[in-house]
Amino acid sequence: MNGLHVGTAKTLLLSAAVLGALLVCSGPAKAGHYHTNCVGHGMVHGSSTTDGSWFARVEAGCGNPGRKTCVVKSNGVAKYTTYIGSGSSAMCNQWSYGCCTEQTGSATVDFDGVFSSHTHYPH
Amino acid sequence: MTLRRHTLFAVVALVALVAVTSIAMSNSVIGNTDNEDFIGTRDRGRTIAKAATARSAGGRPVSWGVFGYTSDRGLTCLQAGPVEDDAAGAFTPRGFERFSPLDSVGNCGDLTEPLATLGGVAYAAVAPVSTDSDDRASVVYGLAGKNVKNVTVTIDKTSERLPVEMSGASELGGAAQSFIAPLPPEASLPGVTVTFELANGKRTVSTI
Repeated sequence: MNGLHVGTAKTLLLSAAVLGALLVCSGPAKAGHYHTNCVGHGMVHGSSTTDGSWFARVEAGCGNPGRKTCVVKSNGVAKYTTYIGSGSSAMCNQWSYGCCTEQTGSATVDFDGVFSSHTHYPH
Repeated sequence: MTLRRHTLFAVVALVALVAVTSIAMSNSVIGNTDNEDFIGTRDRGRTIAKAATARSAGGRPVSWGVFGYTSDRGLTCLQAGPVEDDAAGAFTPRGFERFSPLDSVGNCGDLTEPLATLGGVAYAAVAPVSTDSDDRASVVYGLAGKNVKNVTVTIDKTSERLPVEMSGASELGGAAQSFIAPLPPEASLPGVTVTFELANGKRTVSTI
């Protein structure tokens, strides 16, 4: 029985290590272009990551307490910006209009009362 | 015993695989939204409001328009941009392009609740106003419900009230009117308050 407990403990430790490694490997990709903090937000590239068509987006939700901001940037410079006023259930959805490739682009998003301004980058 | 350990490892590995697959899928799936949600039929889109000419930061005269449509999934979608040939659109690297519901680029939502409680919904945009992408200008726009008597747009920093153009919204999203107010070139966003004056005398605000 004692051998079984030791073996089980080793198995569980090994499994935990595998699980931890997998989670660590999957983590950075999630934070990079789109993630959820009460509502989904970030950089949305659609089916292609190389066609220059992508969005800066903040979904509606969480009671829509404050202003939503989504900015399409090229090499860190703002090109197109959309704001949604506080209290509105509309999503903030700013298209790139082909201003710039996904690789040179970034999406700066903000949602007052939900999360602070930060920038998302492509994969 | 070896068999039991292998079985246990297999079960834990399976759980790990499911967890990681879920996380990976959450990266590729666009939160709770999909671009398909915002596509509308071409003939449903229209320019529903236009503003008097304002000037861009570079001194260029700019006419703004609000474009609205109902998506195929019933969401109310709005966007604003410069007007060329009587239609609102965007200056892109390819030149001026009219807005289209087919591009799924509207700011969409079910506006029933804010129209009932706030009286209206407010939006703003900063965009190029010519093929020179660095010459940009700003506009505040939105929808107002049937119980709204008046809409005022105020720049917080200077308390300046901007001229607001009102027009019918053709019942878009249950709203009665649309509004648009270009910002002067010296003003910048954010930092604007939109006030909806209701028929009962109450005032509600949306901050941008």
